[in-house]
Amino acid sequence: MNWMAKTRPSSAAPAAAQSKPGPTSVPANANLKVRTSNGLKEFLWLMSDVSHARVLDLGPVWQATVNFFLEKGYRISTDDLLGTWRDFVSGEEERLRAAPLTEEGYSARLTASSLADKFLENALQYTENSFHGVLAWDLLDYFDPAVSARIMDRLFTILHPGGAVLALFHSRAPERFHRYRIVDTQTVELVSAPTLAVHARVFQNREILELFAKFRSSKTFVGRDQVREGLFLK
Amino acid sequence: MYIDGEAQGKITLADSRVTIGPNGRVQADIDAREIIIGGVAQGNFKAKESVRLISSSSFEGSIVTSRIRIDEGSKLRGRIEMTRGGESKGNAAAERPAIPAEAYTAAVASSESESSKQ
Repeated sequence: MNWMAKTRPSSAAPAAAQSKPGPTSVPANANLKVRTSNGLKEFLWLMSDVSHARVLDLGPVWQATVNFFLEKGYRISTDDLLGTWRDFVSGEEERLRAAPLTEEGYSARLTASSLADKFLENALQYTENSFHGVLAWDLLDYFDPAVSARIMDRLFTILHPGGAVLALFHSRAPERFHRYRIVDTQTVELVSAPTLAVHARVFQNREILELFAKFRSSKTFVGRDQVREGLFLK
Repeated sequence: MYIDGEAQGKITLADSRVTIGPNGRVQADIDAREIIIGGVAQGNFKAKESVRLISSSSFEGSIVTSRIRIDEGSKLRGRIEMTRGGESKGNAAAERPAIPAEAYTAAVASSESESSKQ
């Protein structure tokens, strides 16, 4: 997959130009919030050449998203990484509360790096080159930078050469926590959800590129809702 | 077959339905006509007709089926693969996340710019 080598269908470019990025309100239901995702559209376009592409969604499982990919003949895996992280951290806190204090104390054992290493002993345990695409919705800017960096290393490993990661970054802390599910090739629905994690930091563009330093190319879509969609190719 | 307790191993009921109740804790490979997951389950599940994850259920592993229904609130950590005519298009077990059993309890199943390094 390579958007520089790939010939874009004639209809794709005008469609992208017409559809401005950013949230769109749906009059029928005020609680339903959707946004146009040019990043998703590009992500799908990149994978359209791959027969039975394997996709990893790092959000919760949704019938709509599963159907969307299965109907395309893709193989879909889901792994709610933020939920798994929350449970992991809760478990670690519980364990440390119950453990006797040593000379090092709690803080020495609760560094972000050590937690990340331990977390990844069980999380994201897929074989190398497993996936052609990875969807990292609200994810990377919810982790400590040390954790994000380690997760990125793992994602790079499990991604097939030429595979793509679609990642979302907030330019300012979001007011509410949302989970994402796919409506169609260019629309995602934002589902309000109990806060799993607090938005940890706002990434600058340079920091995003550093986070994806191993990837060979990147493309960013900036929405009017202060969300940046980054598409990164291995 | 209705399981509302603990079960491990391999269950093959090719022409029957297997239901894991809300209190079910199953770690098994299941091959059935229809599988309904209402509790906590882990393994490679293959259903000729359908798989349903009921709200508040939790599944980890791989699912191979021709129809799947996922209720909101259910958790799935693993792979879903569709079949046509009851035959899998691939080997789901081969790509199943390699998750140690002890990790299972902690796991949960819920203006354009461009730059290039080339």
